Order: sequence, then structure tokens, then C-alpha cells
Amino acid sequence: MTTTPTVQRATAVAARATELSKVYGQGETQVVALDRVTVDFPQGEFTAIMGPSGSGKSTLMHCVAGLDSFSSGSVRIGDTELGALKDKQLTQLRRDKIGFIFQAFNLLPTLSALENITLPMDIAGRKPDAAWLQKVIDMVGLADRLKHRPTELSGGQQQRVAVARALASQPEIIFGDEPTGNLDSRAGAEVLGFLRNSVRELGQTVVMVTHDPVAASYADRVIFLADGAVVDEMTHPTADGVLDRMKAFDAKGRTS
Amino acid sequence: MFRTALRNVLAHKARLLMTVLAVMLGVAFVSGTLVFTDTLSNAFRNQSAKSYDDVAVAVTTHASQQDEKTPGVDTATLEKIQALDGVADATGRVSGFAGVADADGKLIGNGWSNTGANFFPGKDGEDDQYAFTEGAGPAEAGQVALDKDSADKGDYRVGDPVRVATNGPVKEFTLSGVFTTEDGAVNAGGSLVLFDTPVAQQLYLRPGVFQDVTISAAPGVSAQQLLTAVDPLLPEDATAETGRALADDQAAQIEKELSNLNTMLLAFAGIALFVGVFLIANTFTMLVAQRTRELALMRAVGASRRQVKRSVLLEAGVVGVIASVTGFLLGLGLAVGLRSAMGLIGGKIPAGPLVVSPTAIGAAFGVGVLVTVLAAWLPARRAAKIPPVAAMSSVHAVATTRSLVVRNSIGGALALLGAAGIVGGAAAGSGGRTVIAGGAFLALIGVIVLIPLLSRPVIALVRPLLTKLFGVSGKLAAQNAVRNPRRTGATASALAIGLTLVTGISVLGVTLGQAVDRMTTDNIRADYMVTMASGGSLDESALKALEKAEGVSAVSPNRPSGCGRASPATRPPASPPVTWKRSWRSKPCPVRWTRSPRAGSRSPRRRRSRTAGRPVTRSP
Ligand SMILES: Nc1ncnc2c1ncn2[C@@H]1O[C@H](COP(=O)(O)OP(=O)(O)OP(=O)(O)O)[C@@H](O)[C@H]1O
Ligand SMILES: [Mg+2]
Repeated sequence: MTTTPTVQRATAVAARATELSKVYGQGETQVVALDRVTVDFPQGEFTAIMGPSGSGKSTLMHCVAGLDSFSSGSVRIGDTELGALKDKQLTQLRRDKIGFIFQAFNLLPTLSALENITLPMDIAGRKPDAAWLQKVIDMVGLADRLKHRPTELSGGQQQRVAVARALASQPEIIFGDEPTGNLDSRAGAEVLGFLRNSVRELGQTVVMVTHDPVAASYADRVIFLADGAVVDEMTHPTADGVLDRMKAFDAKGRTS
Repeated sequence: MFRTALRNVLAHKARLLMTVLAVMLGVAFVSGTLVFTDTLSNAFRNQSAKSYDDVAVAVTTHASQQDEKTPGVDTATLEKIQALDGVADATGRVSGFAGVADADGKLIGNGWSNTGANFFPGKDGEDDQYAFTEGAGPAEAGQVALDKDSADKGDYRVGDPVRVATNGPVKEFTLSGVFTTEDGAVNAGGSLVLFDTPVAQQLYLRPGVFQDVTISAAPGVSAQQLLTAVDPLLPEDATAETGRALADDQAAQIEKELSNLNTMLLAFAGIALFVGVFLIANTFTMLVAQRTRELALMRAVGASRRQVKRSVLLEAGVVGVIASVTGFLLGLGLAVGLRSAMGLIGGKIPAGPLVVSPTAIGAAFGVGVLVTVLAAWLPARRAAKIPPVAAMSSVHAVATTRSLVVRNSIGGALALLGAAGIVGGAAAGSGGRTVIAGGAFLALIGVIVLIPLLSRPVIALVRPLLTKLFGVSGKLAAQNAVRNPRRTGATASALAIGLTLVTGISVLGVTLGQAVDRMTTDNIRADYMVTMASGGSLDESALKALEKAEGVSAVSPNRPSGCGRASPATRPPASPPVTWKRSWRSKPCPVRWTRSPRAGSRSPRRRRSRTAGRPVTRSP
């Protein structure tokens, strides 16, 4: 198959899972959380992962982001095959190439907002790029909050710090597990706006697990998981469209 | 990373306080002991160097009143020495016990150093050894001079009558002067009475004979040259040595005595640090468990296992440094306090600067930091094993039953091995002592390892009580304690070790005390023992005086036998209990005689001693 360089650039993947399976436990209590999942996360795209509770969304994210091991299949971040990496190399990969935003408890309580933002670079012993850091901080609107501790910030502000941290080290891909799950719709919209801006304006790649159709509508593409397998996907989603699709799964789930 | 560690220490101040305290105490003991003994040995060394300052050569003859065969240095020999080339001056000395009583008849000074000596004026009428602050040296038989401290304690002025006890009846002298001296014994709180030379010779040796001679060198003459010149003039059995050699000997002697003290104090330090290790390990285990998510987050955003481990160890290091600094300062205070405490109980220590050697500083910091970091090693390793996914899940570090099984097996094996050692050692008789000791130690460690397992039945036992006393809180407390046996065990073991040590030491103390008591009462069947404060022999007159005393039914002198051990006192007669009223004690003190003193029976009677010039003290 021959492709032009421009096409190749457009379809270049930031992360890819191939035939990825993850099995928890053994024998009787065995749970297949992921069942031969194959999925691409193209560069410069905002992907949302949706699905009912227990469908394996978090598990997929953990495996692709190098936070957890998997049972079989393969995962690539850029050109790197994760299955072949030792813990030390995997840690380095997370540090240098991946950004994280979790649902809660994103920040170290003993560090100030700024220190939390630069934590991955501190760990790596790198100096942050001052101009970029300023740009990120301005974007999330935290300039006057940098000296505060996480406990002195609201939930929305904390998530903004987490977004800033994920963006500050200019990773190849950012993973978020329900980053707006604990926020009200206004604060959630803010955070999602930042994520979308980072994709549109900075060319960042973002993968986000969410339950919220509105949140999913900020993404370029939605992937639907059920019982550990990809069952559907939707490009340029709208909140209503996602909701309809999910209702359809629910109905199918009940009848089957 | 260092910043994170520092912040974490600050964030958990209260929690870490206990560990800081434990390490601090250990460090305080270590540094306090080292500084104290360094200071002491320095002071004593300076002291002994000073007291031999202008002594080039010292001659000792070991002559004594009882021993007619050993000759002393007679006046003729002394004059020959004085006439030698290179001798600036030679002083004859004779000395022995002399106790001075205060107005109430109590002995002045600390009892183990009440010395009398001769005043030996040179050509200028002065004795270089003594600087008179009041009056002058004794010039005739009825006069004595007293050291300043003793004179102050007895409130004696020049011209006052002073009662002095030597070997024999107490005599009264007139105080001719008060002096200060560099003499080591006096500076250590002893008393010194100076007699006119003929009086001292009469009291302690024979007229016209000296025990010791101290020689000072003329300018430009070395001590060694003098030594070779003096040696041929001396009688047999006399030894001559340079002042430097004597000072060194004395210093070495003092150092040896101090090293015992050193060992004892360091043992306390060891105990404090031993307990500290458990407290630290315990605290850090809890801190790590509590911070599972934080640590997992660090791992998720790219901290390696090594970095996580290092951050925990760094925290421990910071705690160790804080504990070491405060402990060291506390140790300095302890050293100063010990010195004044020694002063209070009568052991006057020569003044001198506080000596803080690099070794003491190094030991304090080495011990403090090392102990803390080593104790935090296991928790740090556990922290490094936290998987990054734990950042997202609510699962805390799970104490799996598997690891508790391993732990229980190890603990059980140790305890069994220890028990076997104790039983085996006991069966082996007196030769099995070390086996018993080893077994006991193993059993102790085994039980400590088993505490999580043991905590269950114990808590089940106290649970009804807790529920009854505290209602819902008590119930919750019991449930929480059972829920994580590992955590309960960690906390309990620190306490258990502390209690073990306390009970162990007190049992040891009581046992030793009883053993000593038994040893003395086995040998001595009398109720009271009268000895000289100097440890010397009592004059015959004391025997007669005691026989006449009210309430005394039998007195028997202990004459030194060939092997140097006192022969047992005569058995008291079988008589009804008597009450012995004594002048120095207002309360009547019942004295029990055993009614049927079978030969060889062990009567657990107490040994009481009366030292001349002091009230009787009851031994415990
Ligand atoms: N540590 C684990 N041990 C055993 N089973 C697990 C573990 N973690 C997840 N599972 C199982 O794997 C399956 C997928 O879980 P996962 O957390 O990925 O679901 P999810 O889609 O993220 O659900 P939710 O929307 O509720 O977060 C579930 O059935 C879950 O019970
Ligand atoms: Mg999930």
C-alpha cells in the first residue's frame, strides 16, 4: 500500500492498541476486562471513550498509558512497543511522553500549584520551557493562584492545575480518566474547553474516558466500549447523538 | 525530590514527633555520654598533669606502720638527695587517714579521701604544694592546717580547735592556717589535714622516716637525669619515677574507670535507639500506607521506584538530622547536667572546659541519621512497590494474608527455637546460661514478630470490656484494631519493647540487689558492721567503746586473715529480741536475732555498716 506523505501525517497515530486483552484474576473469579481490543488514537485528535460502567474504559486507558500491564496483544505509544519495556523504561516513557489527568486526587497536597504543574519535569530533572509554561498557565487562567496549595483551590481550579501539568511537559499524548467527573457543568465545560483548545491550537493529542455525553461532544471522535470490546465509534459527535447511541446500547443490553 | 521530601516532613510534623523524640533521646545519650566522659577525662588529665607539674621525680617506698620490714626514706637519705647536683628541692612526704569532724561531729568530705599529711616547709618556710589563704602551716605538734573547702564546710577559722581522727583516739588540734592546693584528691572533694612533720611521721610511720619524696629539678636538668642520679641513694623496694610518667599513669587509671561509666551510659543510648528503630519503622509504615495515592501519583507522572524509595529515605534522613541536632544539643545539656549532678553527690570534678570532640559530633549524627534511615528502609521499599494504577483506585496498600502467613511462620519458628533454647539451656545446668540467654532473645523477637497474630485473641478478650465501658466508640476501636493486625502489631510492638526493657532492667536490678544481699549476709552474721571510712583498720579502743555501748550484746573484731578475707563474726546468742536505741537515730530500731541459728542456715539478715565519723546507713 502506497500513501503520500501528507496522508501519512494525517493518519499518524499517537497511540495504538492491537488485539489488546486484559484478564483480572484466575479460574472462577476470572474477569476479562478487555477482550482483543484494537483501536488507534491519531495524532492531534481529541478522542472520547464511552461505555457503561464496568465496560473496561479505565482498564483500556491504563493499559494504553503504560500504567498497568496487559495479558496479551500489543500497545504502541508513537514508535515504542510497551510490551517490551521494563518498569524503568515504562516509567520514563510516562514521564516524558504522556500526560495524565485523573478524576480526583491529581495533585500532591504538599506542593503549590506551580510546583505541581512542573512536577514531571522536576522528577526528570529538566528545566521547564519558561515561555511554554507561561502560555499554558495563561491558558488555564491560573496566573494568580500559582502559590496556593491544592487544598486552597476549588475542585475546578484543581482540575485546571492538572490540565496545566499535563500540557506543561508537552507530551505526545494526554490521557484523562473522567477529568470532569467531579465538576459541575460550568467548571467541567471550562476544563473541556482547555482540552479542546490544546488540541485545536497546540496540536496536542488527547484521549479521555467519560460518562457524560456533553463532555464527549467536545471530542473529535467517540469510541464506545461494552463488555471489554469496541462496539461502535462516532466522529464529530454531538451530545444528543451520543445520548441516542448510548440509549440504543442500553436497550440492546437489556434485550440480549 | 528533596523539596517534596522536606514538605512531607513538614506536613506530618505531629506524626513524626514521636520518632524524632525517640531518636533524639538516643542521640542525646550517645553525645551526652561522649561529651561528658571526654570532658571528665580531660579535666582529670589536666588535673593530674598539674599536680605533678613541678615534680621532676617522685620516690615511693610503700613503707607503712604495720610493716616494719619495708624501709622508708630517712632524714639522712633525704638530705643526701637534696645535696645532689641538679636537685632544686626535695620534699619528704608521709601521709595516711585523717578525718576532720564538723561542729556536729560528722565527717567532712566524701569519705573515700580523707587524708592527713605532713607540712614540709622549704628554706623559705613555705611548702610549694600549698598556698595559704589564711594563717600559716603548722609549726608545732598541736597545730594543723586544713584545706579551704573543708575549713569552709566545718566553718573553722584560724585559732579554732579542730577535732581530727586518725588511727586511734580523736585528738584536738589548733588550726594554724587554711590553704588551697592542686592535689587531685582534694580537688575531687576529699579533705586534707596538714600536720607538723614529726607529728605526721609519728602518726603514719616512724619518727624521722618519710614514705615518699618528691624532687624538683634545677633549671636545665632533665627528669631522666635526676632519676638516674637519685636511684642509687634509695633503699630497696623504693620506686622512683618521673612526674610525667606518674601523671600519665594516673590519667590512664582515670580513663579506665571512666570507660565503665561510658559503657553503662552507652547501653542506655542503645536501648533508646533500639526502641527508636521500631517507632521509626512503625511511623513510616503508616505514613507510606496513608500516602499510597500520593506515591502512586508520583509513579504515574514518571517517578521511578528508585526515586520514590529515595524520597521516603530522604524524609527519614531529614527526620534523622533534626533528631540528631536536637539530640546533640540535649546531649550537651545532659553532659553539663551530669557534671553538676556528680558535684552534688560529692564527687567534685575539677573545673575545665566542655570538651566536644569531633568523634562525639560524628557519632551523634552518624547514629541519629543512620538509625532513622535504616529503620525507614523497609517502609521505603514497600513504598517503591506501590503500582502507579493505585493513583486512580481507592485501594490502599493491601496487607495480603499471604505475607502475614510468612510473617507468622517466621515468628513461630523464632519463638519455638527460643523456647527450645531456654528449655535446653536450663537442662544443661549452669553451663547452659548463654544458651538460655540466646533462647530468651530469640523468643522475644519471635513474640514481637507474632504480635499481629497475638493481637486477635487479646482484642477478642478485651472487646466486651471495651464495648461495656465506651459503647459504640469501644466497639469501633476493637474492630479497627482487628481490621489491620499488621498496623496494630507495629504500634503494639514498639510499646511492648519499651515495657520489656523497663521490666527487664528492674527485675535485673532487684535480682542483683538480692544476690548481693545474700552474699553479704551469708558471710556476716552480725547485725551491724563498723568500718573505717578510709578502709583501714580500726583502733583497739573502738572495740572497748562499742562493747560498752547500750544494747550491744556481742562485738567481735574482724582481723584480717592471711588471704585478706574477713573471718565471719561470731554468731549472736539466742536471746529474745532486743531494742537498740542509738544516739544518732531518734527512732528506735528493732534488731532481730534469729532464735535458733542452726549452723549453716542462711539468715536473710541485713548488713549494716557504720563508718567512723558518719551515721550508720542501712543498706537496702
Ligand atoms: N483490580 C481489579 N481486579 C479485578 N477485576 C478488576 C480490577 N479492576 C477492574 N476490574 C474489572 O474489570 C472490569 C472493567 O473495569 P473498569 O474499571 O475498566 O471499568 P470502567 O469501564 O472504567 O467502569 P466505570 O465506568 O465504573 O469506571 C470490571 O468488570 C471490573 O470489575
Ligand atoms: Mg473507570
